[in-house]
Amino acid sequence: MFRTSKKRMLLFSFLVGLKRTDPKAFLLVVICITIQLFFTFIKLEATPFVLFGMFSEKVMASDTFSTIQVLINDRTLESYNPPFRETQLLEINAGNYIGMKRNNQNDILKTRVETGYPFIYNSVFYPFVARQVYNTPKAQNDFKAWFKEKCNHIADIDNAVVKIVETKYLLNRTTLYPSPLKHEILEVF
Amino acid sequence: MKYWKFSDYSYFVSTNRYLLQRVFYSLALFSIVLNFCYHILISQVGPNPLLKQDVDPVYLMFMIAGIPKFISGWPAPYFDALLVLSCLASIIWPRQRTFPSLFFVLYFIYFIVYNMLAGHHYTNIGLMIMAFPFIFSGNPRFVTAFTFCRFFLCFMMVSAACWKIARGNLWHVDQTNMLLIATHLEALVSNKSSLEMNIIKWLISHKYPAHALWVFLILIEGLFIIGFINFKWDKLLLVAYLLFFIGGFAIFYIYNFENLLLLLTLTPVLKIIGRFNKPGHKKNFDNPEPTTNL
Repeated sequence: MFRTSKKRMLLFSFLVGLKRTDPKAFLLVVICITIQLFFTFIKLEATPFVLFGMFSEKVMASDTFSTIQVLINDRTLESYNPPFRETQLLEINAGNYIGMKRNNQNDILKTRVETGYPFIYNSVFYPFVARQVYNTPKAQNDFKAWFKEKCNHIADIDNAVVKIVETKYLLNRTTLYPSPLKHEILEVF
Repeated sequence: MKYWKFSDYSYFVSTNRYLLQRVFYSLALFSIVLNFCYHILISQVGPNPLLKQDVDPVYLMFMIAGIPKFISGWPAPYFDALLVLSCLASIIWPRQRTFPSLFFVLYFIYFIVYNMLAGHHYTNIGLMIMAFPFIFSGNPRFVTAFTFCRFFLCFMMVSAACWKIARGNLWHVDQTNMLLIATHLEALVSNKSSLEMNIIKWLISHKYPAHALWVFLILIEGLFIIGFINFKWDKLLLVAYLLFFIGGFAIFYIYNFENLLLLLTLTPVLKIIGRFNKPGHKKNFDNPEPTTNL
C-alpha cells in the first residue's frame, strides 16, 4: 500500500504514505494522535482516549493496611467461589457505596466538581446536568436491594445476611501475618 | 527476507483480511464467553443503581442520555444476545460490513456500561480498538486502521512505562512491596500455603528482588518503543507482552485478556495466521484483491 524508504522510521513511513494516498485518513490519524497525546498530558480520560497510568501512583511504605470485605452469612465472598471478576465487581461496588455513605450520601464526583471546579458549578447548564449525572441517595438505597440479590445468588440462599465490613491490619514484617487492629461492620443488608 | 518491510505488512494485511476477520471475531467471541463464565455480561450484572461515571465526558454523556440504566434493565438479555449474534455473523459472513459495524457499536456500549456497573473504569480497550478496522469496506482504509492499532499497542505500553517512570516508580523500592501486600492481603490473613503464595511471601520479605521484577516489567513496557521503528523486533515484542501479561496476572492479578487481541497486529502472529491461508483455504475465505498501489 505504501511505497516507503527503507531507512525511514516505521511510524513516519506510515504517516508519509498515508498523506500521499489518503489525505482524509491522514488528517483523522493526526487528530487522534494529537488528542491522545494532549489528553495524556492534561491527564484527562475521554474513552477511547484513556490513560495508562494504572499502578504508577507512588504508594508510601506502611505496616497498616485496611480492606473492605463483603460477608454473606458471616462467610467471606471468596468462600462461595464466585468467578474472580464477579468478586472484584462486588467488592469495588461495596467500596463505592461506603465512599458515598461516608460523603454524607453525596456522590463523590458531585463533591469534587462543586469544590474544585466553580466554573462548571456556576454554569447555566449545571442544574440540568447534575440531575442526570450524579448518583442520588435514592439510588444508594436501591443499591442495597441489588447488592443483596447478587449476594443471595452467589450464596444460593434466599435471604442471606450481607455485611460490608472494614478491617484494619498491622503487618508483622517477620512472620508476614497481618493481625487485625480494628474490625468494623459498616453496613448490614 | 529477514523481517517485513512496511509494504509486506500492508500487502499481507490487505490480502488476508477475511482470515484476520475470522480470527479476530473468534477471539472476540471467546472473550464474550469468558465474560459469561465470569458472570459479567450486562444481563448477568443487572441494573446496579450506583453507577461509576467519574470525569470521563463519554461516561457523563451516557449518564445524561440514561443509556446505562436503560441497557441494564429489561433490554439487557437482548443486548447481550445481539452482541453475540453480531460477533457470530461477522465470523460467518466476513464480506458483510454491517455486522462488524454493529459489533463495534454494541461492544463500545458494552464496554462503557460494564465499567459503570462494575464501579471501576478498566482500560481493557484492546478488543474495542481492534474491532474498529473491520468496519471499513475499502481495503486501504482497513490496512490503515489495522496498522494504527499496532501503533496503539506500542503507545499503550510505552505510555504505561512513562507514567511509572515520571511518577518515580523506578527508584521507589517500596512500590512493589506495598502493591504485593495490598493485592495479597486476604491470602496473607488466611495464611494460605501454596507455591504461588510462597513466592509472593518471598518477594514481600525481599524488597530488592521484588523491585527488580517491577523494574523489569517497566522495561518490558518501555521496550515497545521499538515497535514504532520497524518490524524487526516483533518477535521480541510478542514474547515481552506475553511475559508482561503472565507476570501481571500471576503477581498483581492484572487481568486484561481483551488487550491480548492487539497482538494480532504483530508480524509473528500474522505469519502464524497466514499459514492457515493455504491455497486450499483461499477459496473458502474469498480473499479480496490486494491494494492496487503496492
